[in-house]
Amino acid sequence: MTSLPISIRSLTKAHGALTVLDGVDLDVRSGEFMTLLGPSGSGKTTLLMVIAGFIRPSAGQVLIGDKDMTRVPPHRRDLGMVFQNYALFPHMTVGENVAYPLKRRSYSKAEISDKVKAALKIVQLEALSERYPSQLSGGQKQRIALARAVSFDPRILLMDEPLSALDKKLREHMQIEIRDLHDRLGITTIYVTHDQREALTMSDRIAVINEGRIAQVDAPAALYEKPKSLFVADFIGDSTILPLHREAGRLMLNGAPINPGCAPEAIGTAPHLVIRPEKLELLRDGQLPAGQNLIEGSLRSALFQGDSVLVQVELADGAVLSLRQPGRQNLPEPGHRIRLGLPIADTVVLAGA
Amino acid sequence: MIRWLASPAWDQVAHYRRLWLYAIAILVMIILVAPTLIVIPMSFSDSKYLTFPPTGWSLDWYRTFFQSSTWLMATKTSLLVAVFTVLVATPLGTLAAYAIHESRLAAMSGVHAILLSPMMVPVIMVAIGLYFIYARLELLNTKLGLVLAHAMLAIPLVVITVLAGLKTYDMNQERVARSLGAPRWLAFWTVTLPQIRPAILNAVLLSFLTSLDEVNVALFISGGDNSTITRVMFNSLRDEIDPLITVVSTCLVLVSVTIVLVVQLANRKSHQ
Ligand SMILES: Nc1ncnc2c1ncn2[C@@H]1O[C@H](COP(=O)(O)OP(=O)(O)OP(=O)(O)O)[C@@H](O)[C@H]1O
Ligand SMILES: [Mg+2]
Repeated sequence: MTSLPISIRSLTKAHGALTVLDGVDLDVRSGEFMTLLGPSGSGKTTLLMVIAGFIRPSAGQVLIGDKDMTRVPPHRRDLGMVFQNYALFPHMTVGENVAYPLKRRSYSKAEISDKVKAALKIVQLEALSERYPSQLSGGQKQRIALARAVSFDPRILLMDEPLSALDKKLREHMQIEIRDLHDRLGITTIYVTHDQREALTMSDRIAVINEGRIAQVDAPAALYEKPKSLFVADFIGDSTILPLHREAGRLMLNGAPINPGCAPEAIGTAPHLVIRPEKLELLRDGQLPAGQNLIEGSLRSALFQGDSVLVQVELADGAVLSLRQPGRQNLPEPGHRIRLGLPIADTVVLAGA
Repeated sequence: MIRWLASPAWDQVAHYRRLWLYAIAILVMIILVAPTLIVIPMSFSDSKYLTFPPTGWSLDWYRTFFQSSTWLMATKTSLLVAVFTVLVATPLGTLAAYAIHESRLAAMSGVHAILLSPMMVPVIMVAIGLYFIYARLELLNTKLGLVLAHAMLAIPLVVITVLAGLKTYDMNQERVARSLGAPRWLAFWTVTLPQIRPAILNAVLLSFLTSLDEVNVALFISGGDNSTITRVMFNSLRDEIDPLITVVSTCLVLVSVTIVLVVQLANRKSHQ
């Protein structure tokens, strides 16, 4: 089985006056695990439905391999789909569910039975093939839905929030299992979620979608470390975003200069500083290592959280910063002055809206 | 009895405290079935006149019924028309309900209203309108005319019933089936249809009974060899009132009850 790349070209979908997808360009590489991540209503499901062929775009193209699929009906796109609510067929047994796509293709009875067994084996539920979906747990249903979606060796696997109905523990387990399945089959996968942790855990690359536009496509680490817009910086991970002022060509935070690690002029209007809590370092009085930006404030609170202490620092203008420390040692008393270092290499300054 | 009255019902309220509820329930049930229960014994009467309770028992009137070509022909017409009404109204109404449920066209709410309109207009008006149209099309006194008219009356019921069935169905199942390689019609046939089957069976039931019981339209557009049984009943009531009418009623009740039972059995099966 060879998996295929997907190419989406200036895709637009409008419902009357409402533009749900606005010129989306996206290239998914062959065998890649691509996640569509975005807030509710951003157009993730719509994009997936266009790729699957259930929604006809107002403009633009969907290419699978090098074939234009924009007008091909869903049943001839040869892709597996998994929905949030599993959508198992309740009037068929597990085995019949998994055999459904095989019966639509020209396989012999023996081949169908072999392939059903193989698919159930992939999800480790061979024993359940005679059961009905109503006799399965949520996690089992999810696995059967997966088995059904891959039993016929599709070129592409599409999943729309497949784990959101499961509890947290099972969800984390299934994340690893799905990623593992992807790696074994090498199947090009597009995965929709609005859970950023899930996206960071599972994906090769993540496409962040906001209001029908792709905000950024990058590997999880790059997305986290080098967000290209305030939206992405805010949406991915915990971060504090502080407005900066320009003074004589320099960027200032509460009167102290901030070195953005690049030419300040290169940053657009309304610059903002993005701070991840784990990048900040506690500094002693008078100490300022080279290559760090200095941020000063007063300690507001230090909350014990088991593996770490969450420290909150109030800046001169009233804004509050969070950082994590391994313990309470070296922390001043609440209300006292505290000095923080932010490595220039980890300093992210982005233009505001 | 006394012990039962004092014992608690399932939610700890003693049975005697809710006697009034039981009384109302029994009264309602009596009111619903009493007319039917009175008619059945009357059909076994040996008298020439309608009397209740009958003075003596016999099967005379059943013999009369099964020997009358008029009644037998009317029975055949009614059953045939009812079956064909089901065959026309159920598929059309089901497809219409599917379209109303799935389409995002703004015009669909208008289509919905039009499909339900035969139910909102007084049947007598429908009958008068049909009479004049059928006169032009030469459909008066034909089985085809009756089937079309009854299908028109039954389609709104089918649409409402099947729409209710579709509301509780997860359309993602049909989408999955399509993505797995089934063309839309096949996905509907193999995945959607089996799951809205209870609703469709109810639609079959309602169309059949609508046609079988229908009298207003039949009075206007059926006649001669193609008179329905309800129409012949009406005519015979005008001339004379004898227990034959109760025989016909009993037979109709029997047919209806059979159909209802069959549908309920089939529904129970599809639940398993
Ligand atoms: N048939 C439709 N008619 C009009 N608007 C629609 C239709 N379908 C979706 N929308 C709108 O399109 C936008 C995007 O919807 P979509 O379902 O793609 O969002 P999503 O990113 O999947 O959100 P969620 O995370 O909540 O599932 C929403 O604002 C929604 O209201
Ligand atoms: Mg969605």
